[in-house]
Amino acid sequence: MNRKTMKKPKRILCYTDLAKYSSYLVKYAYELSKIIDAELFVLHNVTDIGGAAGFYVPHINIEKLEDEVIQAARDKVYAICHQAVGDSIDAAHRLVIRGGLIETLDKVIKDKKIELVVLPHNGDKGILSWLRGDYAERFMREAAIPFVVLPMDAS
Amino acid sequence: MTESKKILIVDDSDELTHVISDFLSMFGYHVHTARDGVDALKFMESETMDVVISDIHMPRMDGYTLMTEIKTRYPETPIVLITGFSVSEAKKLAFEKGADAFVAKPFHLKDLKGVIDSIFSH
Repeated sequence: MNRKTMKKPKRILCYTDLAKYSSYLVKYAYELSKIIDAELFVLHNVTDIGGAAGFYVPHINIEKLEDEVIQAARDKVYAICHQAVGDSIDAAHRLVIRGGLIETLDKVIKDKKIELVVLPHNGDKGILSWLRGDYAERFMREAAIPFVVLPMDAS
Repeated sequence: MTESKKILIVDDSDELTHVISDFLSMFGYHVHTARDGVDALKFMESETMDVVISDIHMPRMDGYTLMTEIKTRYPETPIVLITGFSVSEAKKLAFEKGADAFVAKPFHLKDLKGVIDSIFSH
């Protein structure tokens, strides 16, 4: 029997949806990265509202509000990482990116040469709620790297 | 705790409801959206909301009418009205008609969240 062994990942990506269990997820990913001596990135995606730039909403600057969302997401990711592992994950490894989720994951995996992805699964919603649709199928077909999915209701 | 609080945002701008929804979701609020008063009332027939945030100027049913309907059907549900038109008169009218809070456009998301937090802390 010809068995393939998986090489040790050098770079891990942990995706957080900022839910209440996220610090457990990050802590798990961090401990895993220490065990296998890998570099860890923590990512959150802020959904792009799709071509709204320049879209006129009376009395409101949508782009400014989006910037507020991004900043709040950065603060939240920092708080989650800090709660999980103190200051062990620096700003360069905490990523908040605006865009479509699957495209963002795809881009970060390529740009950072990620070799393992850690994802949350929280019972009702799970990853299936967002890893769904045409993008998901394409992403999972093309990703060609392993995933670890953590059931967060067990945290 | 904000974990289980449910918020309904009513505005005919999908872009604005999307951004507000993204922001409040980060703080544990469970956010739903509706495009106008008619959709909002229909939605509330099946879901109990902890607070409703509504624009005043919307097609089909405006924010004042929606608020009156909600206060009649669900008197315990707090309502926040938002607008950028004739702010001082709108604010006066909003409170006369029973609004729990009023937010003028343009606003910062953190200020809107502050208003919601304040409603839940009472």
